[in-house]
Amino acid sequence: MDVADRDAWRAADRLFAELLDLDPARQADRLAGMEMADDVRACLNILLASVEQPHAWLDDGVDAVSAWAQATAAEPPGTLRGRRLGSWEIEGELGRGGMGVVYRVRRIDGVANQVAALKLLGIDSLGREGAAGFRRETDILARIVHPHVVGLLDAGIAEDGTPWLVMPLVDGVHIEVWCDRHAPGTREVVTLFLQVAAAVAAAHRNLVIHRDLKPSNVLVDRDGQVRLLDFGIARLVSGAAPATGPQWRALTPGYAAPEQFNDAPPTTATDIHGLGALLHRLLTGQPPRVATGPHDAPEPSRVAATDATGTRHLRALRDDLDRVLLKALAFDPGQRYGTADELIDDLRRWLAGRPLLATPPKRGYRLRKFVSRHRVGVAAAAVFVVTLAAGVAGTLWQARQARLQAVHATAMKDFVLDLFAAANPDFTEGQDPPASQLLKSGASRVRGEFAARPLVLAEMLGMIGRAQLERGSLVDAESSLDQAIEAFARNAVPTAKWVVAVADRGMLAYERGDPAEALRRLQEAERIGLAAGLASTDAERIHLLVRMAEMQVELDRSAIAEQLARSALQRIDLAGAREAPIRPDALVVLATSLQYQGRREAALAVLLEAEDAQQRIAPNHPKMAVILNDLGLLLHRLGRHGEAESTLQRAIERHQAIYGLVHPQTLHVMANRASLLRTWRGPAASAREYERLLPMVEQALGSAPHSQRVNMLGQLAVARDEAGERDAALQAAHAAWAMHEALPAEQRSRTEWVAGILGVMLFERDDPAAADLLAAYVPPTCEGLEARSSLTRHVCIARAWLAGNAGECALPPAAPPPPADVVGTERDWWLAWWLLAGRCTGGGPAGADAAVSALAEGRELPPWLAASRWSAGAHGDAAAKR
Amino acid sequence: MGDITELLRSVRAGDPRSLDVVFARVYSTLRKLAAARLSRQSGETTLGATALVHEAYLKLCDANRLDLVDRHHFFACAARAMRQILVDRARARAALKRGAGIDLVSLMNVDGVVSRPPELLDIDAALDAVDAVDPVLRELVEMRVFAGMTLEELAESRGQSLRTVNRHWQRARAMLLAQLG
Repeated sequence: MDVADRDAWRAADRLFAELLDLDPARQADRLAGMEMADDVRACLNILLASVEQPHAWLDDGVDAVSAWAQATAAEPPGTLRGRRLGSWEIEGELGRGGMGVVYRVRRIDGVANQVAALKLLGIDSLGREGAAGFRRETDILARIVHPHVVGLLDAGIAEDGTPWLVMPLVDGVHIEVWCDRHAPGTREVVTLFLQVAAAVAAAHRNLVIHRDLKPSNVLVDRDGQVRLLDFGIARLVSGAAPATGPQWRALTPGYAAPEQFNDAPPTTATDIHGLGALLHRLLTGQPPRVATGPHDAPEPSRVAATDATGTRHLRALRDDLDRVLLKALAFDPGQRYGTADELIDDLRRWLAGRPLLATPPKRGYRLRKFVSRHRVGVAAAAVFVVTLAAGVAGTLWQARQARLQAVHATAMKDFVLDLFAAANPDFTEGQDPPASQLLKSGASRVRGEFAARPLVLAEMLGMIGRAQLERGSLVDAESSLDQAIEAFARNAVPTAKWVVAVADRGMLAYERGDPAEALRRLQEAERIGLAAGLASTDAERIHLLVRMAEMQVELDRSAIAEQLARSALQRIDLAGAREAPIRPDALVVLATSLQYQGRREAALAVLLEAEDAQQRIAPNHPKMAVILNDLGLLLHRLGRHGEAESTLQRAIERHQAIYGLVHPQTLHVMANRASLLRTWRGPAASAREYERLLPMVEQALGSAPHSQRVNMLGQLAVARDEAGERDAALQAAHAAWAMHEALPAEQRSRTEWVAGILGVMLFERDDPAAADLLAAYVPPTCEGLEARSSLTRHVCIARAWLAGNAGECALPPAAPPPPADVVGTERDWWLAWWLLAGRCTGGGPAGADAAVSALAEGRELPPWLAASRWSAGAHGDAAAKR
Repeated sequence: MGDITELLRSVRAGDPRSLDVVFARVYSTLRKLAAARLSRQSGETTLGATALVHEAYLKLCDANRLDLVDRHHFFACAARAMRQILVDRARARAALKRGAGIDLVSLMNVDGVVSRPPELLDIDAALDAVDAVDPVLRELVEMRVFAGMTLEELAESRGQSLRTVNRHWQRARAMLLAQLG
């Protein structure tokens, strides 16, 4: 490096260091403001560009040295080159893999000038039956001759006992890479896939099962034809004695069938699952999640909605291909297509537009709060392009295949599958252990087995913690997530999984009632996400935005929440993910933030859009019930009572369907409706409804004091009071207050208002206990009494009255309605106000005397008014008039 | 076994030549250890850099008497030694390939995928370039890649906060990738 270059790089490094010190938000500004020479800027740009690029070999703590060391260890020079095996001579090494080494070989027996690939298996891979068994198996494999199968040319056993296999060299690309590159339409994909299925069918006719179907075993050659690799090889290799360990350690997670993890012997159904998994990957962009139970597999179209590849095929999936996939991937092998031919037939029917045999699956979705998706940093499509550009004559993909096998399936995935394997001795024979138990024992095993590997430990515990959080085992979730986060921090490298763990921990804090803490965690997660190089349109970051918006709403910062929500929606659009389940969440929080800023009409429009979006995505999802609840309340506030009532009714029905009748969520919505009944049908109807609900709430929540019950009792008291059932109202108010007092301290903030209710009622009865209660509840404001709720108004006046009795005078400001318009008990209250006005402002505002006499005329005043010395005048006047 | 410890302490006391002696000792030990591990035929053996380096550490040092600074020097030497050993082997093999006239497809070349490590010799050249810009960055990369140290371990041995080390690592990483081109 010459001096000029060196100085340029040094300068660039200095500036780079400066930028790294800043918050990501300020980096762009700072960079724009920096002055530097052109060559320095060029260097700095290169440095900056590398920040976003993932380099697994450098970043993930992978022991890169092992790979180099292995490479340098490969064939002490000359050992195998030139070696002869059967009619073949080794010319060189093509690659090294999990099953053995692959060499390029040439035929030397003069029969033909042929070049092929020779796979040398490990010496211990001969099965129990040894050489004879090997010969038998390879004879069977050699019989499979099919245009789409990479067959067996030759096989043998070397003098030292090492078995070997010879196959044709194939010049092609992995099928998923081919699909990513050519972006074929759905029909094209299915047609290509049918070639694979045909190959499998051919093998099955020869009584050979593949056992290891996955994209890396399927090549597409230069003619666009499919070539299926490694048929039955798995069988040969794993023929080794059981003592080497459970068979499923060699399985590929995501593609292997569930029963394979229980050491079930492979059958044609195993291959059907493999075919389904392959098609799933091609159509949705992701391998299927291995089902752990009969109702576990998500609909492929929903998976596809979250992936760039998948959205291309979304319509077709929703049309009917979902069903084909789910039938092929059924947890119970007996539920799958019986033969590959049946699968082929159904797909041909689909191509022809005729009805399918696959029946629709049952619906059973779990409540999902987050969509979790992690992308691996390898740009598979780029591989093909790069190698072509490098001008390598004919990419020998079997070599690459061998290499990829060497990238061992991580212990982590093995572990997950192990966790759910029924063969686990921890569990009672034949019983399905409850998921929480699985998770808990999983967590402790993870801690034990992976103590020395922080990254794996962290990822596992993060997954387990999320599952526990979703199930509501908060204490367990906290423990798992805290440990996961600690392990991530020890590893120190920012990754998407770390982001998710911290975000989940935040939501846990929220579940515990601490939105401020939740927000802090979410912001921390955002920082990690940025450091991990996640793009702003990545699912994890969008989710973070939505959750942060929700927390800002909880913390009363609606303007900020609105901004965050809008930003999230923009990014969802940018990512082309309008069908993503997170979108209704974003719309709902936007609507809430608008409402809190008083922009109700705007909020309504957004909420209606949320309803529409949720209807399209998942109409039976619990979120829909929440949306309807919010919609109903908003319509009520906008005065559209009829629509409000019917919407709330729909919300209640939805809640009933999801949660059942006697469930806190359903009852919460019903309580909302009960309170609104006061406006729609009058206080008596409202009171009756509350009376009906209270026993159900007790059944749902138990008999221990609970803030929801306190609130409902308080509402009942108000309703009864307004309906004129004064004594019953007082009784309910007493009950509410007593229960409030029995609540744990941190729950009391939402029920303080009950003091106001009881205080006012006692005040009206001239009860001395009123004073303390009225002091305990401070209304939000005492200005503009005429516009406040009656509770607030009464509390303000009562407090002012009591203060007046004590000699202080503070009149709550109001623009009182004309006395003729005042009816019912309100006449007492406004009379009190006029009297206060008179006393406190010395003589009172204009018309005070007239108002007082009008309001007091011809009736018996309640004791609290009559007894006061202030009303002596009024009393006197009235008496005088008689 | 004792005198590496003494040597490291004298490095700390300010004698730079002791570092060379330390390096020489570490290098020869690591080479023997690596050779022993790599001589097995099977393609399955993984050569853990961390394990090797720690083995060498145990062999050569009296851990109780080394403080953080000494340990840092040791591991810095070990990382450099490890790099040297591997580069030597890679060069030998490359020479053999060229000499024999066979176009063997290297494990690393055909792929462009960034999840696979680049050619060792390319990394070696890039590290020399990084060294010209800032030797501290080079040392950081070496210790992470060749001695398998985690950022936390590095923070501990350099007496810095994790945040600081992470930032230095960001710089080192960026510079390395830039020089790899």
